[in-house]
Amino acid sequence: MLSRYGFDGAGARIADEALQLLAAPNCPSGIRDLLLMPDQMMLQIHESIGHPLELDRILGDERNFAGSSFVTKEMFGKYQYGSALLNVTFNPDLPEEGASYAFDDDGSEAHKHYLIRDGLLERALGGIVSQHRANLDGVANSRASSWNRAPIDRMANLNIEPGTSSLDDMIADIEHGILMRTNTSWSIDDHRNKFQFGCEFGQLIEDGVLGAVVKQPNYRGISASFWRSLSAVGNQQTSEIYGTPFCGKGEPMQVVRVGHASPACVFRNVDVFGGVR
Amino acid sequence: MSEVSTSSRDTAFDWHGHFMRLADEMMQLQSSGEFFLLTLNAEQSDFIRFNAGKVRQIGSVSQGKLTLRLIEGARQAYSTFTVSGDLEMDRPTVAQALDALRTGLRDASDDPHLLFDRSQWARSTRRTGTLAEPGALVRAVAEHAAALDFVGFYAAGSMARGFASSSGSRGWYEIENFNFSWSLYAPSGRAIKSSYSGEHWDYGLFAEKLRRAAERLPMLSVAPRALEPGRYRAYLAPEAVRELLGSAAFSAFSARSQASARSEFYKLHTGETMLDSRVVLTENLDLGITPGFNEDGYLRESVPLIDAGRSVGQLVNARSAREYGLCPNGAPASEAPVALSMAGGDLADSDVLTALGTGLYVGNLWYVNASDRMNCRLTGMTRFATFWVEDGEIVAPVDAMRFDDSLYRVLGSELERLGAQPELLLDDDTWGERATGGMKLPGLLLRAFELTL
Repeated sequence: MLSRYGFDGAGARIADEALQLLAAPNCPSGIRDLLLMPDQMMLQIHESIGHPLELDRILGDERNFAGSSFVTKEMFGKYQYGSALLNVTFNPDLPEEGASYAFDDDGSEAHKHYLIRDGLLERALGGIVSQHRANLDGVANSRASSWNRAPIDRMANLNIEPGTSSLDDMIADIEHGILMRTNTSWSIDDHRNKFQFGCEFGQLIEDGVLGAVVKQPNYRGISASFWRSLSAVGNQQTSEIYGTPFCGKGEPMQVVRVGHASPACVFRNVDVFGGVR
Repeated sequence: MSEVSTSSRDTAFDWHGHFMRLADEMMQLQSSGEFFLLTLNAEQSDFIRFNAGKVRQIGSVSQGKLTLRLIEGARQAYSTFTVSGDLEMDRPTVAQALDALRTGLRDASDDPHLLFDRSQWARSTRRTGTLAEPGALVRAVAEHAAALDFVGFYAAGSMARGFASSSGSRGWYEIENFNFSWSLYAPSGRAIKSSYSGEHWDYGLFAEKLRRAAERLPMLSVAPRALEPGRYRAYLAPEAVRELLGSAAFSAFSARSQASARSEFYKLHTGETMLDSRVVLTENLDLGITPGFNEDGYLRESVPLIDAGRSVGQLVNARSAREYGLCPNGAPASEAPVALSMAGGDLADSDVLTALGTGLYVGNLWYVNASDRMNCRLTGMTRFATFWVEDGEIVAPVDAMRFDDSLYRVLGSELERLGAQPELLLDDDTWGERATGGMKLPGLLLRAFELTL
């Protein structure tokens, strides 16, 4: 188990990276192509695809706290959420992922479904109650954090399907960019649109070659346009499984475990910046 | 509607008596050389969620969670488990937990950072409130919020925190209170958020708060002001200040975070920088909103944190004290303040818009997180009541904007005035259980606040 999650040999690697970051300059500011590795893609999926597609948010239940969504009921089946390379699935069938189950807490049978196919928004993250209220197709995702909370619409395993690009090809295809990984900061508006995320480790890419390490790399964007700038999706070899045990939502608050698998991905022309000099 | 107000104490479960009996049981069960620390978190709460002026979900939770720590020499083990409130059921549960901990201790290594209080003390706080009966509250919402797009959450009931140890120390904190927050949405999708919290429910006051919020709704239908990224003169209302300080305070006042160079206020604590000399922050136990003892058995007193803009103290938990050679001051394990109090200034609420002149009135902030921890730079969003003000008059709502600015600027170079009447904001968190604590904060008038997106 620990080996699968990269613990073997990680101590020496992390120590080396810590020393690199101590000596590294701050991430430069400007517009760059952004190569996000799976451990940061996890957060990008979670905040700007997962939460916006929760049907109870779209129905307004969360407007007093967690917020609403830039997605409306009318968008399903019509809205181009991302570029044609974007394929997002709800997949509770993967035993190695953090939120797999056969039935949700309303008793609905859980199966894999495409939420976004070829960039087109198809299906919401809504359990049987929300599906009935919204008259939309959903998934089996009505979950309660414990006996003392009522089930609400949650993410479970929400994944990006692998594409065809190798990591080397993606890097080689970037003229002026940056690789980022390992999340340190996250913030997004209550409609899940304007976001700013920070990472621990950045590495500049110039003319298709990985170069200098930079510290405190941050980027910001708007969900509705960010996913349309997706220009490359890594193949299965670049894909990794992550997740978080601390997805919070609801009144009263509920914390549940979610899983996110993703390949490395490239986004064009992203606003990138670093820490205070 | 006086017939619908009632104290829940008459019907609430006697967690105090139950906990003290379990503590007595532990005194009997402990063996020579063993030392136990026993804590209880319990509540009896009603929850009601509203959407579009109707009840969306409703529930009632009665729960108690016991944590038993067993210490022998320099080794310790602990177990957290729910208790039923039935002594005949809970006695064997506690005994089983004790047996399991004894077994675990056999294989445990010494804990180099173990420190706990061995003195004997007793401290008790018990306050009875006047709470709304849930059914009547729903009818009141239906009456007063008719025709409004009302979204809200009501949480109320009793909360108890208990402590007992082998030395005979006994701590008890039990209150009844309520926390009702709601948002009124305009057709534009913008909203006014309000809250009403306290220990004595008053239907008239609730109706008045709701009426005042509804009066502000028409302003949300005015065409919003689109702002370009840049620095703007701004007033942050106390709720917005809570988001800023609350996010930083997860580790900004922690002795452990400071010792490991991860504190947002690292440079402040080392004396490398200072805040405006009017900034005074205290972990203020005198507010009476949090237990006066912690899980390590230490009594808690108020702790001055920032005085005249300079760091004068940190929150030191027992483990940090042992690890870094400090003196514990009763801080909880998180070393985050739970009763943070900020001194007020000279800006009366009635003068806020005039003093702001032209700029941003920020009612609420949202999803604040560090963007550059060592420089105490935070990012987040404006939310709910954020308005553009010209010549002391609100002229338009402002669409949600992202900010990215440093608390060293907000509480330092850019701080123009502090509100004269700090507002008590009770913690409304419900992570697994209703939270105690809160903050008492003034609004802040800033010369500049940086918006980025």
